[in-house]
Amino acid sequence: MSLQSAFYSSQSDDEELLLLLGGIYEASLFVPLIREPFNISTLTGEEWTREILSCDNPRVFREEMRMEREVFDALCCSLRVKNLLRDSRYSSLSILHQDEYTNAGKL
Amino acid sequence: MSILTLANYRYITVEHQLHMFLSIVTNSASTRTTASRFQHSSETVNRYFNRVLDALDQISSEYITLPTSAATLAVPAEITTNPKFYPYFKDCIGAIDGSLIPVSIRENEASVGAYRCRKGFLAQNVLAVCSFDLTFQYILAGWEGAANDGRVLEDALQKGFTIPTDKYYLADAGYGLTPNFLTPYRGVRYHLKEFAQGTQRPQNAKEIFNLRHASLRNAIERIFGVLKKRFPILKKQCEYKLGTQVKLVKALCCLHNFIRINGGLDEYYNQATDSEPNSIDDDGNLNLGRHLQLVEPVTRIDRGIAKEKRDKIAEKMWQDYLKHIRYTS
Repeated sequence: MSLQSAFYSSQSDDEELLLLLGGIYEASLFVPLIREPFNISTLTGEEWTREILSCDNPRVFREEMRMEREVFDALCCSLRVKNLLRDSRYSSLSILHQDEYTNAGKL
Repeated sequence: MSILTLANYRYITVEHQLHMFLSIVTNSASTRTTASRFQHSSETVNRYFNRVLDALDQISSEYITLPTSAATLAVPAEITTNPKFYPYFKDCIGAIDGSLIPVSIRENEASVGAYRCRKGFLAQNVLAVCSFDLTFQYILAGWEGAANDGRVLEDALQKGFTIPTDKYYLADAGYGLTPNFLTPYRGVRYHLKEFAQGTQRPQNAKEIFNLRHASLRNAIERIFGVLKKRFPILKKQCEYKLGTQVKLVKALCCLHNFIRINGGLDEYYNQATDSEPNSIDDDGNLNLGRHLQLVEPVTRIDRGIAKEKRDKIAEKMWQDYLKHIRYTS
């Protein structure tokens, strides 16, 4: 039986093909989960913000935020009070390699 | 070996959200750059950018307000303390002008032609009303760059920009003269530069009116200077949806007011005060004739009243000025 006839010969073969395609599709859904890590900096954005906020030199803050610390605090406060912005918790599902996982545990 | 795990829960604090937003608008940074700087995905950066934008949009009606109470309608200190302006401009409560803010248009969003402004780039025409202490009183963003200032003003007046009957704003010659908007005399020296170059003193009532009109109206040029200096994103096309770009202008004006109200004068205002008078108007004299087709929904009677009002102010200024010269010489 030629390859072509294997594809087109019978109903059951078609179904097998569909199953196979379905399998490939399903597998492709997992591809994004095992991609190479992209954000690799040890300084996360949150830590960076914390760094700016905790710096004693007012110039650092001014240069970064283009406003005085008091103004920034007032803005955060007023947006929080009005419930227009809130601290939001987010989590991401990801696959870590074993060694990364253990490293993360150590940190 | 791989382990499927819920990566650590993290909190994105309000401070962090604002930090991201400010980082974008003060560096006119792209989402991609910001994402890498903050170690988030572009999607996360975008989401929080929009949340902060919406939040600022929500409070804008609270921070950008027209003067209505007696306290806000009192003669501004900038006028009372300056004998060049007081008592002539005592009923003046601010200045208006349009500014062209660059926009990017996606193919299917709007017709590009309408947004091509007279300076050649794609822009939205933003009408701003400001008081002399450099706070915005009213903002109308989103008009096509090709629209003329008079048309935008007309729209603003229909959308809730109201002026107390006996008060007025200063406007440049691109607008029509009405009792609520005093414009300079046409065909007479107007720009501060013109006065600065020649040492010649004002020669008549019209000239002295125009000179003082220009230096008081300068507030609106300065406020735009401050705004664009602090938030350079307004000087550059950014790749957001058109609606977002329109919202952004108002949000940043709101932020400007917030800083102004809570922080008083900071370095940006001082810098702008120092540098602006020489570069008062980059249009130069073009300004006078830039809108050939003025939209003037004013009746002839109104026009007459306005002219009379302006002549009266000019004449009084001129008489006092002559007196002053005689006294000093």
